[in-house]
Amino acid sequence: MPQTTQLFGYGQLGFGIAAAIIKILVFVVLFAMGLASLLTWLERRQSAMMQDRLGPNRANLGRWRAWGLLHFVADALKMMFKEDFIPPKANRFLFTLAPILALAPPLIVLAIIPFGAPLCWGHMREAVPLGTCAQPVDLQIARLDVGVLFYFAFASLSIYGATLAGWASYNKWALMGGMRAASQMISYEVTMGMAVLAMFVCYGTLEPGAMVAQQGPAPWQWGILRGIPHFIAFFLFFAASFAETKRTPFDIPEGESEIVGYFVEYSGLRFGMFYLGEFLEVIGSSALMVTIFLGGWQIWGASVLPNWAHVLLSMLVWGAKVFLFCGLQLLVRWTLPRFRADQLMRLGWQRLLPISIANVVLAACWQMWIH
Amino acid sequence: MGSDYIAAALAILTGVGMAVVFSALARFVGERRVTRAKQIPYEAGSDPVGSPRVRMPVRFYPVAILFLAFDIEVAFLYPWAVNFASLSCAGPLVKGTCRAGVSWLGLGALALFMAVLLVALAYVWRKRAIGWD
Repeated sequence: MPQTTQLFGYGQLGFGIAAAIIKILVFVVLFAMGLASLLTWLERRQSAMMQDRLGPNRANLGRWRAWGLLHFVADALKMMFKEDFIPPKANRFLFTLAPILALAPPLIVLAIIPFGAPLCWGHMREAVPLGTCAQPVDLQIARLDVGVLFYFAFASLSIYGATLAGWASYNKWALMGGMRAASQMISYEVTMGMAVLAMFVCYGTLEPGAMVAQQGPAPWQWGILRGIPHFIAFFLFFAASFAETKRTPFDIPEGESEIVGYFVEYSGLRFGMFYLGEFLEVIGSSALMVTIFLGGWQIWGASVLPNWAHVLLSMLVWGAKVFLFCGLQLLVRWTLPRFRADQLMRLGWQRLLPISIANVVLAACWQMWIH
Repeated sequence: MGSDYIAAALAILTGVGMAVVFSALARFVGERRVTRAKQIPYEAGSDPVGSPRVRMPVRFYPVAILFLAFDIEVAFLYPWAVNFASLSCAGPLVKGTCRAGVSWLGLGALALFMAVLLVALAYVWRKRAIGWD
């Protein structure tokens, strides 16, 4: 067995690949997909609570009902066996490609999110203070220097999903939805990129793992409270990334009650892919905000515990923050009415963009001042 | 670092792979029964009027052009932002603080860049190309 230990020993290529596969399975497949499907149920249930209805509460396993939690399984099964319909005049290739482009990018962007304290290989039962481990395994699928740029690069690909779906459907309403989606998403992408610049000036890196390492467990050590420009940057980024997810009040591309949107001709699982992609975008943007602004997985005094407990607790803290953020985005959806198209464009280009440009200058001055 | 690029590639493969599997499930598990009424493009139940290949308002196009202009500006600012701390120090940077006084190079570069950007923004604002009016 000496060769196997060499190939899969710490620091070897085999170890890296095996670790990456495990991290992808746990984080992307189990956690993200699981939470996204759970959010589909939560959104319906929460809206029901806010509107004094009961909502979906019937799905069960015999006696075990769990407030209707299993509705997401029922929904998934139902969607799978629904008729798969492709309109006869649609462009078949693009019509099939569009949902793939809507679902894949929000899954891919999770690769750069650090979701827990580094695991100390070989010393998991001992207490290891942060940064002293000789063989750390980062709980982050890929630690890339381009970091956040990787996120933006892939997140912006989902624009193609919405736009191509609208065009390929050969349907006027779908086309309108697609055009609206394209113009809305590219407009807010500028603000999104501009808003985080203030944080990059502060951190001096684009790598999310390094950003979390520079923050601390206490709220006053978080990125958001570094200074005034960083505080403003958080709200700018939140608004912009909210618009990117195309959820109410930014749901003009869908506009359920008027044009139904770019997925009007989609049914069954293909529609489900758009639906799931939207919730994955919510999770992705929440995770990115928690990483950049809200201290990531940092947790108080847990490094005196054995390493495995520290890692577990840090994952829990991170998960709780992300979940709260997702819940906030669901709450907003059922609280605010939809913008008008002109209001949306004016907000993006004439309010958020100038503010974010000014904020970058302010952040630079701030950084000079504290030096 | 090398294994990180492999990990990123694996993540991309997983994302695309899952989406493709979902598509295949939709194609092969869902049933298909074609009827004439289903074939008509959906327009709230009435027969469709005209072709959906219509012209879109020209207002969408300035948005796309402005996006290209401004998003490239943002991309140019990324390396500046990451290196700002070292640009703003006249001497070496030790533990995030300057050793030998503050340099105005970083801020000056930004001011120059932003001035050009603001001229462009003011111009398109005056021309009413920005926003939706």
